[in-house]
Amino acid sequence: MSGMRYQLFDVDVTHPRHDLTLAPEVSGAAILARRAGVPIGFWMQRTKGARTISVEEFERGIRRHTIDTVVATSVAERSERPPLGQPLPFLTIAICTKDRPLGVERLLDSLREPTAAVPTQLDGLEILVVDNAPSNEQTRELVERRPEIRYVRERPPGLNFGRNRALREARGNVIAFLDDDVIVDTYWLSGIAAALAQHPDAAAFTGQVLPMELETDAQILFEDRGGFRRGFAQVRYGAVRRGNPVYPGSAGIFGTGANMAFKTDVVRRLGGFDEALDSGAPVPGGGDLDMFYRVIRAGHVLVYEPRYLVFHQHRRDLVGLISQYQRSWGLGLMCYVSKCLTTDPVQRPRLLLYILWWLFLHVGQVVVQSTRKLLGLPHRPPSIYFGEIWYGAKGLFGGYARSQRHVAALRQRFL
Amino acid sequence: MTVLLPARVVHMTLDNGAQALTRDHSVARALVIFWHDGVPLGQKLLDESALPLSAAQMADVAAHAIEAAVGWRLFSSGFNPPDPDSTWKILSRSEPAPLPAVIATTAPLHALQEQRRSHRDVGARVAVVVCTRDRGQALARCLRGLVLLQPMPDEIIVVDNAPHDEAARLCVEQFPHVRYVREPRAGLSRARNAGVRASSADIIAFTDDDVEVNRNWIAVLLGAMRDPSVAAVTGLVLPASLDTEARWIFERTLGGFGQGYRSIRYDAKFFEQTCWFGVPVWRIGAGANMALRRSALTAVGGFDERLGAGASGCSEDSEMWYRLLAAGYVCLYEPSAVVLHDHRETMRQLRHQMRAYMKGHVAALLVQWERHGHRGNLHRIFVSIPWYYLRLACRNGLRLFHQGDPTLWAQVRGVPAGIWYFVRHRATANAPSVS
Repeated sequence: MSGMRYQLFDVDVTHPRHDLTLAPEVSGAAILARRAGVPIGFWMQRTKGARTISVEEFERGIRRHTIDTVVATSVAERSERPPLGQPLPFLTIAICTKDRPLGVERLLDSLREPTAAVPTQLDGLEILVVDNAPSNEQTRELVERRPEIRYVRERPPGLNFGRNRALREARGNVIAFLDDDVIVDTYWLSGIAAALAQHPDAAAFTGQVLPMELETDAQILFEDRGGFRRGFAQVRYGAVRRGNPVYPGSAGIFGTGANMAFKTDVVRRLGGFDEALDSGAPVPGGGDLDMFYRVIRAGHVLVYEPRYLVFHQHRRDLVGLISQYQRSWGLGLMCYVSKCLTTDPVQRPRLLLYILWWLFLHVGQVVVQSTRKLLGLPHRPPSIYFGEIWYGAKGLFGGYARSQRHVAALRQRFL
Repeated sequence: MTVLLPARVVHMTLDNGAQALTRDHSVARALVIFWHDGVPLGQKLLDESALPLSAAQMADVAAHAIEAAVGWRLFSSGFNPPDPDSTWKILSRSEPAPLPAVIATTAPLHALQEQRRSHRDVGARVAVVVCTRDRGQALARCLRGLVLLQPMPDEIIVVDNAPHDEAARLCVEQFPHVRYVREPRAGLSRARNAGVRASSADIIAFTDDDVEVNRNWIAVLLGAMRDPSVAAVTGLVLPASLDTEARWIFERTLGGFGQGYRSIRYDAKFFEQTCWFGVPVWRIGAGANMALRRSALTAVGGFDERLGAGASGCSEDSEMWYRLLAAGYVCLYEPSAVVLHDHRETMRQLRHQMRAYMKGHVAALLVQWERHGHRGNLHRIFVSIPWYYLRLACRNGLRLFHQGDPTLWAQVRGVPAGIWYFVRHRATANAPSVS
């Protein structure tokens, strides 16, 4: 089971199709299918030692995983849906980073092509790197070699301190946040431009996040559990959602902070990001969900756009991954939920139902995966779910208040 | 605070792309039905709070609502509706659609238009039979729609069933092409049989006095009848309006009459595979929108006079389909044949109707058991239906995810009423010859 590696393929189904050749030591393939550049499907398959995926098998995969999207998108394209290549409003691309100069460099390189391709006057676009409590000068030196990119430093450690600094510095009407562990797709910028043109009334946008690499067991495990994927259909989220009794508390459905954008004035009016969430090491999560939730609860529209695509580098080591599940998905999520419970009493019944549902799912997974483990079937470690429940409980009972005290102390120290 | 109407029905044609939809502050929701070139392709229920939507935003809503129906019409596989004969719908998986065709698809709605053929050259003669009882106003509206049909049917016959007044006769006199037939004995089956006897056409289309037919209704029914093995065709019944609580509950909580936007073929295989638990013939469609072939009616007999509104309550239509399927004929559900139905307006009427439906349904199951000896019908009455209501009652009690069904008790009371009705009418005559 250990030492797995999946090879990534990025194929356009409109091009001639042939066998996919795998490198000698890989144990599976992950395929992103596009149609004329637009992503239409992603799937993973074990190859069980085979050196190729035959063209027939590959086509079966395309047919199984993409046909509905193809029909729906081509129906929509015949209608008034704006194609790629729409003009952009003044956009600020904000990259919040901490001690990851290589990641920033990789991301800036990936941004070069898309920002050149979109019909926008260059002064309509700014790229801002927020260096959050760095331990050295590498990121600053790297950015200073590129004069078109702005660099600011934010001293209090914490991702949401960085995001709020970006919000203060941004000159654009729209601010697009990127984490330092992603690279953008060629169509990333034209994807958000198209979504902006189609939904001029929306205040927030989230995009698709696919794996940059699947080189380790931990990365495959993460992606296999669903990763950050949110489907290949555009979704327009409003105040209510039919058939979802826990909406909008279940803010994970909207997307993730690694790839999100907002109308700058809306987020400023909402008071910016909550610094007690996504506060770096103590509570490394929940800040993005909290903002999505507040945007929706303030009566705005949020649009998920699959063409607005980035590739994320997942944690390579299992220890890091388990810590991410526990602290970001368990602690961060439940800190956010417990905050909503106090600030938004109208939503309490739905939030409590969400907590129950979340607990039910995770306990269910502990049972299912433990049983599979006992039977010797392929399984995910039950401990990851158990850890999430444990840290979720910590978040629910006082986690948010502890984080608020921590952040208040930080503010005192730095301001 | 003003009380919002439950919903409005919006018909949106996609012939020139999607259109913007503005917000209506007097209703809570909009049920949008998407049409293209006279064919209904899908529907989407939107909360008014999600509106307004621009044309570009509506295009996406439409695309997802009609995707299945469009794919089903364009490709040989991959978009089939669930097999009607499979008990486990999730397990019935069809072959994905052919890849080159899917990839080459750039303008699917245009392709649909190209693919459609004219239905006008069918040689068969067709009659429309409308059975009515003391609903003069509704009848007039129904007839105004019928005389606009393209092509015109060869005969239009109104059967006035045990009327208390002359309203129907006076109404029919205003329409020169419409014939008036009176059936003094009450019961929808008797009226339908009288209509069949009065007509001379090869194909008889039935509709009710509380519906409005779509202009190409007859053309589509005739087209579906081209296949000589098809003895019965049913179509899509859409709500004319959803402006009262009762209409809304009927359409959403109770499922309404709609059976989806892809046509379904019910044949001997469907009958055999579902026979052990009671063939779900009620899924085939509704008597308000159906056509039957005269030759098949001659072979299996007319409607059972114990069943139907005015007698047992309902299900004379589904019992007919049961008999046709048992005799090896094919029934076809074709959603392009559309009628708009006026659902019951008040909760009182709705409760009354739901009790009558269940009573008629149970009586029809017993009649089917009596005629064919299939035990599945009893299985449905004594196992499936009690189990269904037990589950529903639990869910109603919890009211967690479900708004509850206020007609539940009325439905439950219909079950013993249906059994009792059958017992009292066991010996009476049934299914008379219609030739």
